[in-house]
Amino acid sequence: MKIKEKIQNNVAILTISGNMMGGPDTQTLHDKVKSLIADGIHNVVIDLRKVKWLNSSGLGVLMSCWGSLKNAGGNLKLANVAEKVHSILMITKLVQFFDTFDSVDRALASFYAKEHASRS
Amino acid sequence: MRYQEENELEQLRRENIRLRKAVEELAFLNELATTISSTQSVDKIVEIIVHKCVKNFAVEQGAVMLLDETDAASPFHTMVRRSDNTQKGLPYRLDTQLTGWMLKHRKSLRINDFQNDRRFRRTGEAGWPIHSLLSVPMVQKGRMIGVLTLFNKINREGFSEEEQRLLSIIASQSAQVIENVRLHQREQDLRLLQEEIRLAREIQLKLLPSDLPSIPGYQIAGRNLPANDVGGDYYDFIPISDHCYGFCLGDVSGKGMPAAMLMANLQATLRGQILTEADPNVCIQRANRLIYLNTDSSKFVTLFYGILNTRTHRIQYCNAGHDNPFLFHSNGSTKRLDVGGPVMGFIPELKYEQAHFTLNPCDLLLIYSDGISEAFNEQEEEFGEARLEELVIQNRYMSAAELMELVFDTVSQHSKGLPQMDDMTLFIIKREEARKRATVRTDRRLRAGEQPNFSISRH
Repeated sequence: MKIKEKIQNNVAILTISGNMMGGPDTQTLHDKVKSLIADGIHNVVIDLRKVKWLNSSGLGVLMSCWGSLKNAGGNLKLANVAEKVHSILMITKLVQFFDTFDSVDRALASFYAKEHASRS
Repeated sequence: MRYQEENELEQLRRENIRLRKAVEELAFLNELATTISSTQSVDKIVEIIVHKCVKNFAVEQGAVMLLDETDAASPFHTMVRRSDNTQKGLPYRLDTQLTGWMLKHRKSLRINDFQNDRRFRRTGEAGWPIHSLLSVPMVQKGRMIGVLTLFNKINREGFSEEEQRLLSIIASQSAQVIENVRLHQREQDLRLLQEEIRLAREIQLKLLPSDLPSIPGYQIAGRNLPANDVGGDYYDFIPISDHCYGFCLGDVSGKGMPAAMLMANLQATLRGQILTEADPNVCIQRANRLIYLNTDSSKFVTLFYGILNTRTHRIQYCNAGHDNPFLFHSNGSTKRLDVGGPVMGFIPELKYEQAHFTLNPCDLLLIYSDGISEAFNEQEEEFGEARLEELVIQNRYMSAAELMELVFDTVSQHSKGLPQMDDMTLFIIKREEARKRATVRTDRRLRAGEQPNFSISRH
């Protein structure tokens, strides 16, 4: 599993490639999110375009990231969720906590829209 | 003539000295080998080697530095050092420089004019003054495991070539013995670990129902097959009253020992809740809060919990993010049981919903863990829910126990030749036909030597 990081208007976009099957590899994703929070970035989009499959440990790490960002007053959005990953979110009924979007741009737009609404 | 005799005599004398030295060397090697081979601790062996070498070679200090294999990130920096009783410290960084040189050159090093040696020039400035040293690598099967070094020959003559050869033999002999002891220790550690895992497996087996009660009019079957010795799946069947039974099947995130520990926690938490006779959703709500408090944010549990009432044949259930169980109706239709809420352990205060249905004669409820539906074959195809559903529909005339065997056999056939990747658990409740109950009763009477009363069996 590899993580690529990009910051756009104070929102971090983390692109993951490879399957999320737990182990120390997956844990680095949570560490990454924690370091972003420490640097004041509380909104994160995780791009799952290149993730075809995740197991319970992989899902657990997404849950950790969600929890850490929520605690920091931010949010986590998922983009390009594969069908299999989406069905796992449906079965576990976690889909109500994870906002999913068809593209990174749409996920980003949802952050900006919220910001815009809170300003006006 | 006389000159020739003297010459021969001299030759004999030299030969005699050489032989005596060889015998001494052999005696020393033999003594060292015998002593260390009967020792079972690496520390002790190193101590003996250093002690005996310091004495035999008449030097001020000796040291064995072993590569520390547990520090994989920087194995060459962490060395275990043993020296004799003289409390003199080596010059700053000489240990590291010596081992660094050894790792690079892997051959013995003899220096009799240390202060003027260009390779270690900067080390002699502080600490104990060194004039001579003899250092040899300890190599075992091509792998360097340490360095044996002697410092400062007492007679100031420096180390001879013979001594260099002898120390090399000692080093290679010792490397062999040290490796053997390490292997033996590792084997013992492994055996201890295996024994612990075996005990954990025994404990976990006791947390699962050993035999399911027989309930008139119902067939109940359940099995857990962990991928490793211990697993994270859990199922249970608990009598609540004379006609109510709690049953559940859950899956803890992760695998192996950590999952097994959380599974034990889930079992204890849930059993405590089930016995309060509360509705399934209330039990799950309370258990969710407890599991949230007992785990970190990346751990969670999926669980289906139901209560069967054998008088009304009604099942009340709550599904906390578990793979939706199948309800196979006798008319051939299938329903998925999805009412409940998210996985447990994620958010502490959550409301869960519940639903109920009636289990009619020949209806069959099948709960499974994802180890079954997600079992791969060699082409990386999942066994899949559709295949599971179809298999049960095709064989729904079978008893719960037969059907369970069939599912496990079919899944194992699907994943043939591949190791089991995830824990597999299956739980089946089948309501019998009214007629079948009577037939069973008739059979029992026959066994007891009574005349069968066929009029009973038809009513």
